[in-house]
Amino acid sequence: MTTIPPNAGAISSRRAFLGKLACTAGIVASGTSLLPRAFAAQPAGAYTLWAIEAVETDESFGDGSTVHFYRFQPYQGSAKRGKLPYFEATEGETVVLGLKNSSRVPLQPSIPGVVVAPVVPAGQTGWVMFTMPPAGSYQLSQESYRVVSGPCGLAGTMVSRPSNGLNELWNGGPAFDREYTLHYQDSDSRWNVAAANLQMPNLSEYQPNYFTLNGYSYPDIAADPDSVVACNVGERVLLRMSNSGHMRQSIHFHGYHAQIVARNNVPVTAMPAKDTFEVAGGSTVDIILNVLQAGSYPLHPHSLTAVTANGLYPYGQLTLIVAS
Amino acid sequence: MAGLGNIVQADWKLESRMMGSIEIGGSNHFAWCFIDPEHGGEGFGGDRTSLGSHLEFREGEMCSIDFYNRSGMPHTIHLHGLDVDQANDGVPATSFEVPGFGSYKYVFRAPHAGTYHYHCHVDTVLHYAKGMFGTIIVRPADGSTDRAWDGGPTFDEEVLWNLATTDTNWNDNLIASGPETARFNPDGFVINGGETAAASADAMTAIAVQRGQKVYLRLVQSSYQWARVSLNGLPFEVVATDGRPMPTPIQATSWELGPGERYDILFTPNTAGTFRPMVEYLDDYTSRVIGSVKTKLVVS
Repeated sequence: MTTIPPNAGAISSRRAFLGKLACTAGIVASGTSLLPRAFAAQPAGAYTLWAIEAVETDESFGDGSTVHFYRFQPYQGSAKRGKLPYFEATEGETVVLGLKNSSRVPLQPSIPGVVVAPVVPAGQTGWVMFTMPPAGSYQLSQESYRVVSGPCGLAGTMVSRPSNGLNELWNGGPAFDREYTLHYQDSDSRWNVAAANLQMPNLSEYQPNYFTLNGYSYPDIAADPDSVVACNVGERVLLRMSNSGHMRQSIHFHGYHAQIVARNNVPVTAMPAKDTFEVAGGSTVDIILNVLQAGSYPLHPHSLTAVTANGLYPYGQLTLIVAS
Repeated sequence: MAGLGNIVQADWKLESRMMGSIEIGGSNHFAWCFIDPEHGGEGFGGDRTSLGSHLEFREGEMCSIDFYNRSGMPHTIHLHGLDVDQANDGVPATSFEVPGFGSYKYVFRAPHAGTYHYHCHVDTVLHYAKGMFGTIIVRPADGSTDRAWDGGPTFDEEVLWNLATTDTNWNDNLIASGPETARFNPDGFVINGGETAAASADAMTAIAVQRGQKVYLRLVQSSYQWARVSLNGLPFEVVATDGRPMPTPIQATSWELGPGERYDILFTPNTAGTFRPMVEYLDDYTSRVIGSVKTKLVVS
């Protein structure tokens, strides 16, 4: 892994929250140039570029409320799933993850267990070069004060493909006909209000009341082709689930039992087919669904407050499996 | 057998009741529930007004639940884990709801011997929390009630624990989801609808066996928190989950279940004495114990 050497840029520490974030790493921003022009001038050698931008958005929910989020989003042609950034490359490949930080706070993108980027001050850009890890499912996260940044929206998905080029989770691993990435996030709107005001929330109190899947809340989820599991009877569907919230979710399948095959990219063989699976905060879970019957079936957390928007049902992290 | 295994049949009746009650902290609170009007007329075991009746079917049979909605609001029965077809899934958005004072006969084939769940799926965050759930046991195809599944373990005693938490403010004051259901703050922590005193005295919950007898304990997780089950240090084997046998049983002294999960555990106490099995309910964020309930295991 190669990281950018620190430059002499200064960081504005307007509030304690920003100050704490700024102290966690050196300042390594590449300036205020737009990507990818800034990248082209700096990283050496061959690599695949994954460009993202951090923004602040006010998002509407089914109860009529608007909640302030910080979001990573695709930048200049990068891919997405739902509204969250998505990236895939082959294991062993060289990748540059670049961030244009258009938010008001310094940010430090990371792929937990793989790479931590340097802090990118507000309004600047930065990048980090790394080697794609072993094939599997990974989260894009935000390292400094991750306890706050996950619930406030900063997340995405990275998929490392096996070197054999096959539709397998890893070389010789579970095969599949199609796949979906389902990223769960929960937010306590009191934390979002604090973050919008550039203040630290009360970390001892967290009871989420807004819930998203791939950045959307039901029924917007049902209108997003990345977030509805459309499939055909007879297919094997890989569901790459991940959770950047704090709720320890218990995800229930209607209509099917499915097979967990990996948790945090560690193969799982101890469990039979189940209809309800743990997807803990900070974890990834890979599940193979053998589609045995046609129909439309809900897929949702069984902590049912997560299927609401501030208590109003049915919103939140509800999606459908639609099998033809 | 603590009330289990007495009636195994293909066709059952259920009714919704909005006049149940649950005792939490010495006070009675409103509860909604499903009852079996044919066998005892009340909830689990026919002797209570919270926690729905349990139903027992045979693997491979065509089964039905003739549901009569004895209330003015819509309800459904979702057959949780039975992998039924869309029409019988009991979800208003993808099938339909049963209107007030309406009825519907849910039809399905019991897929695999094991432990399942059912619950109302209308305004689910509230109807579920107010108690509209119960347990389905699918017996092996031969109907035997002392064997978990065809070729599976046999047992001498069988017990069902339905694990749940209650926010009595929801029970007493709410009839629809909204801002007041944004946060669930449980103040009742129960097994089979009873807190520690009731769960310790309840013949459906407390366990009394002789040394060397094999106990099959079916755990159904109906709360919104994670639950940790332990048997006062006694070892047990986790043998099945969600209606399927474990590839290899797992040895444990405590086990955590997520909302909606079922686990079946098997244990053989070899020491006489009185033990206090416990269920601890965990906070999602901190994992700290926010409440617990104990029952009694007497080994003679």
